[in-house]
Amino acid sequence: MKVNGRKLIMIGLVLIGIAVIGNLVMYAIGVSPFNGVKINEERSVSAEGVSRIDVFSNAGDVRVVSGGDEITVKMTGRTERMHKGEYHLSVSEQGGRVVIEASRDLKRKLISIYPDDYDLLVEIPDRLYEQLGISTEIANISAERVRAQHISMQAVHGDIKTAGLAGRIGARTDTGDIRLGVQAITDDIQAESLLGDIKLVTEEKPEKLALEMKTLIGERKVELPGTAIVESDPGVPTVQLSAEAGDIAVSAGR
Amino acid sequence: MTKAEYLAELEKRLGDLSAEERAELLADYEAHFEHGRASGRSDEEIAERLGPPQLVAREIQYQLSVDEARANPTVRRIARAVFAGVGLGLMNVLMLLIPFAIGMLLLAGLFVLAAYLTVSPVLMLVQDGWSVEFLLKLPLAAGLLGLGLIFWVAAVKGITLFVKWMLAILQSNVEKVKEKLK
Repeated sequence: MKVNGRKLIMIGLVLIGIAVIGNLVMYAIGVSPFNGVKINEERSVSAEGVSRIDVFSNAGDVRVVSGGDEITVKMTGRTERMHKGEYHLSVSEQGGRVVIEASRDLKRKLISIYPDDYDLLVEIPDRLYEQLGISTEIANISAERVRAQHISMQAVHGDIKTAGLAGRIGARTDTGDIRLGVQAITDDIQAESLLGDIKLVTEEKPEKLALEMKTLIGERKVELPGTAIVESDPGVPTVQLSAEAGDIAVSAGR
Repeated sequence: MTKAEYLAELEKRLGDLSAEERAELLADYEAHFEHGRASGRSDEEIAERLGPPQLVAREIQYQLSVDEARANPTVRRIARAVFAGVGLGLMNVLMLLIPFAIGMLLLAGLFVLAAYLTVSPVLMLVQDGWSVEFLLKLPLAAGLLGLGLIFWVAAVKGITLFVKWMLAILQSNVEKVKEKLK
């Protein structure tokens, strides 16, 4: 049977017409799939006595900033009504450790109107913590002006971007770029990306630095005029940057 | 290279052709030699003017594949002609293979998109199951199906346009090859 192209186009146009009218009517009465619902979850917990904060997010970008008097967590996004129950946020505190977990059920979506991601904003009071850990699976990490003796960031697939950090820093991603902005290099810094560029930018230039830069496919660039690059020494901070396939750079600035 | 050697090599290279076509072509080239000899040229000179038998055989096969594609145009025959032409040099890679590859990729993309949109109502059912949410998505499903049908018609029409476009390119290219052979 030969299919008539004109007939198919007519049928297609009629179906599109039905879709437009149907969705407009349903949107007006608030039951269309396009009437998305907001994800707007917020939790807070006292920062008193907290020395360690761990943040986990599987599919939403995480941003950690300093500010406020308590630890506040906001999860925002937009999704279809039937998928709202697939987003979870929990904040718990025990023995000076705050654990923040945000997640979306990773079901396979064959047809989706919304991007099905979310953003997680974590605000922590400005003081020196013992440890801050941030990890994601398929999402980016950013951290601004937070201080901890040890800051650890890990994304399986996602970029890591920081500004004005202070402390011993570790950053790792399998696929993604790492841009580490630090106030000063006073402690050891480690950054590793399998597929992605790494850039370390320090606001204050160190006098001495033990620097190891490894890349299989990529360029290495150091722009620290006046800084003595020395061999590993107990009194000198060590910076280890490693990318399998990606450029590596260290510079001073903001 | 003597006339006998040249014709033997050419015959070997034209092994894919029918016996009738091969005999006709060899007769043409034999006539070239006879004509050259009558003008006082040596077999070596004639062979040099005609070009290496391997290249001549490839050019002949290219012309024949283009003729076949023109007589009965299908994507497969166009592909055969394109690849026969590509064997003639780098310029033909640029002139034939690149437009062919771009056209095929665009068509493949259009068909994949059309297929995805056409089966989208089924995908929605698999994803949401028989639920109120699925029923509420039915108008959307109808729209996607409609778009899929239109894209499908566009993709089928695209094949016709692509074949015409490639035939024009092949024809223009084969004219250049013929000029070279004269």
